[in-house]
Amino acid sequence: MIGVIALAVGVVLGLWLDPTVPDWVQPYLPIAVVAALDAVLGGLRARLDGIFDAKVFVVSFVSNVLIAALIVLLGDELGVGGQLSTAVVVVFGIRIFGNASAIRRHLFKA
Amino acid sequence: MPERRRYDLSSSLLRQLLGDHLDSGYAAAHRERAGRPVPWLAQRVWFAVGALLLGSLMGVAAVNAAARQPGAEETKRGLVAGVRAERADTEALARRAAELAKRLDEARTAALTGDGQGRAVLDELARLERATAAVPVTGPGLRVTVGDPPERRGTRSRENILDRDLQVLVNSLWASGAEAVAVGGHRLQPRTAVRQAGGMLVDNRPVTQPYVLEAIGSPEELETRFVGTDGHGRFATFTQLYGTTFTIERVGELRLAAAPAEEPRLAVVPAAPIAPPTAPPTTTGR
Repeated sequence: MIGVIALAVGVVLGLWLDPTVPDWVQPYLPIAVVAALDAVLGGLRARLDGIFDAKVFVVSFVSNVLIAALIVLLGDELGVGGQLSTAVVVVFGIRIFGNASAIRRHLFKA
Repeated sequence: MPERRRYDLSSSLLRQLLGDHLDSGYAAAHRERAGRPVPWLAQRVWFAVGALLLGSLMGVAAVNAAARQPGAEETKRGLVAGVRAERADTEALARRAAELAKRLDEARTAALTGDGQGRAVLDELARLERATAAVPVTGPGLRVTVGDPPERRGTRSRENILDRDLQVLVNSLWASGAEAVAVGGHRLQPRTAVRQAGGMLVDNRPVTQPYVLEAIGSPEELETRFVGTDGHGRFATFTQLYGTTFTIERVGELRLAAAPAEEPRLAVVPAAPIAPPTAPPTTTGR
């Protein structure tokens, strides 16, 4: 419950404050969202597996977002353009699918 | 055994990528607790912090995406539609302008052919129209074709013919007495530029190799004078040095289209109702 409230408060904060995102951050936002989705699905699966730990969830979430942003930054600096962000998206995409299917097996037993 | 090791490395990487989706931190934390209950308050606080972060990230990203993406898409679609509509408009207006110009011509001819003064004005007008490439012209002339040797064509770094070479060639044709000149099918009018910007541009329209220059005038006279000009000398040298192709042929009938109409920037109403033939043109280029 407290999590849902905090989530809602966060969304409202983000929408309501409407912070002007600096231009250099903008390329990292989509990657951060994908990393966040991965963390959410991972946390949900851990919850269903009965091994959820909120601290691990927060740390993995924050570090995934930061590392994903760093990899994209590295790609930009190295001049390989979007290729490293493609790598990040692919890896997170695979993990999201894997966790989603594990969650599905838990929920529907199929 | 290096092969074995490499196989193991790649297979474990793949296995991890394809099979190990859950952050190993969860399992590790679970093992560390070893069955002890999770501290309730700490869990709640951590979870609230995480959810807050997550929510604000999603909110910011949503606002950002909404502000950026659809706006850009919409603007682009609007611009494309605008361009299409304007292009259709331009075409319709161009057709109408051509039709009106034809009627104007007919009316002018009908009004002026009556007396000697009128005919003199018409002659002067025709001369000016030819000189400013406002009307298509037909007649005998020279066709000069220049180009880099075929095996080098297309490699930009090896292009030997520059805009200034073509400029010299064009000026040589004028100097030889050409009455009208076209480069690559584009008629030259007094303010046409031949220049290089990426490729060769004549009147801001691209032309490709080999460059074909057509000049109207008496072919024999033109050729005789042209052979003595700078342009001819320059390209003769190029032929020897770089194998540049350079051909001159006499053509019995050349058809040069009119140059696109130049919009007047300054128009002066002549003082007399009908100007004598020697008066300065009523419309000048600048």
